[in-house]
Amino acid sequence: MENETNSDRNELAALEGAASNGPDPDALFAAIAEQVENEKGVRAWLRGQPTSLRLAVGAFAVALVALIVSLTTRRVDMGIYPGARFALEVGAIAILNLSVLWVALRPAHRPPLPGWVWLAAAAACVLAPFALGLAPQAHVGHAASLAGAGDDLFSRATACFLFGLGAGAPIALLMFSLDREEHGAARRIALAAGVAGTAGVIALSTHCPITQPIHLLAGHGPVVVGMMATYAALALSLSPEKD
Amino acid sequence: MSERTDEELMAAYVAGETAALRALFDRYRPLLTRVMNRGMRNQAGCGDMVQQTFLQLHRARNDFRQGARLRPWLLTIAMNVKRQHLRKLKRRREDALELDGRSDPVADAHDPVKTQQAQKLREALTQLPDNQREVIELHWLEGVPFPEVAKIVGASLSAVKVRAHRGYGRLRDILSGMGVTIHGGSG
Repeated sequence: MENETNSDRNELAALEGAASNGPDPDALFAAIAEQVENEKGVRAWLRGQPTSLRLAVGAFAVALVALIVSLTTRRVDMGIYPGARFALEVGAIAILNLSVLWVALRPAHRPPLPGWVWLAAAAACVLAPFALGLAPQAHVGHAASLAGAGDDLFSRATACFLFGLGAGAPIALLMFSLDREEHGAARRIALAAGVAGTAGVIALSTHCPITQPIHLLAGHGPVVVGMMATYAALALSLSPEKD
Repeated sequence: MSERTDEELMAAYVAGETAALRALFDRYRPLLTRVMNRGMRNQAGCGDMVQQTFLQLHRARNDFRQGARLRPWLLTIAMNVKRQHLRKLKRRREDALELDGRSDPVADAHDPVKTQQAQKLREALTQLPDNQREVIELHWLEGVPFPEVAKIVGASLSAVKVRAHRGYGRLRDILSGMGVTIHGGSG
């Protein structure tokens, strides 16, 4: 068996012929050395850390944003919002956030995940906040929770959309720094912005008291999509190679 | 320095010995150049991919664990870099994996028969599904053992052997249709 394998190998190798020398080795190494030399600053330091630490930094940052929002601008209806439902909603988005973070920061020395994984992760990030809006209204027991469905629909939805983007912005910046690959590819953009966008949705869930489905769909739902569009525009403008 | 193992060199590089990178480059450049060159039209793209592979090695150096082997670690990076590059080319509608009739840079320029056979092999390889082509290239053309190939492509040993067996059989059929005969086919 082994002899047959060696025979196959020799036969194919002979068929392939002599290998090319490739580009000039000294020039190629000089280019590599220059790139390595340019790996300086906070971004280079962050993406040079072990993957376990990069994941921990990402998760900690998302938790920190949620904590700051809940301490500074906590939703005023928290006292009557069903606790189990709140934990389920925020917990589900947090698990999604961590899962997508894990996919987004997967290092290049690990075999690639199937192509559908990143598509599913990105789709879940986009759809999750809309799913929250489609759920039955949590409660109608607080005056603040009933706003945002009439004449003030647009203004309140816009305010929440921008709040979500703003809360997710530091995470987007962090993801840009933690990722070791250039952000020219759609999958890199979708995953990094997915993490940042869902972080914005978690922040919104701890901040906004409005429970009207129309407000959740119009103001909270598009946060991830908005983050993806913003992230793509910025990443592509900074990326040396677009693809 | 040349007597040190790959893993010792990598450990030295992680510890801050920058000269170890040059030693690793000298050891792995020929292998990486061959891997990157297959299916590619121009050597500039190949050089870019080798460069990207070493940049990724640098960025991931703190992920390299004591006791791990460097070759599968580095080849996994290289295969990921190549996949990414091919995706990019496909998106740009440059048929990266198709030969355009120019003379083959890897074949023997003094022997037109060998040149033609090498071109046919490369063309036949492009007709294989990616997962079979990668296994064929790594195992039969680079001599990487099956367990190491399994680590690199992220599949089980048995799955890799099946891919190799099927890929080799398919390759033999494609080459046969081109008038080139190979006799083996074990997996």
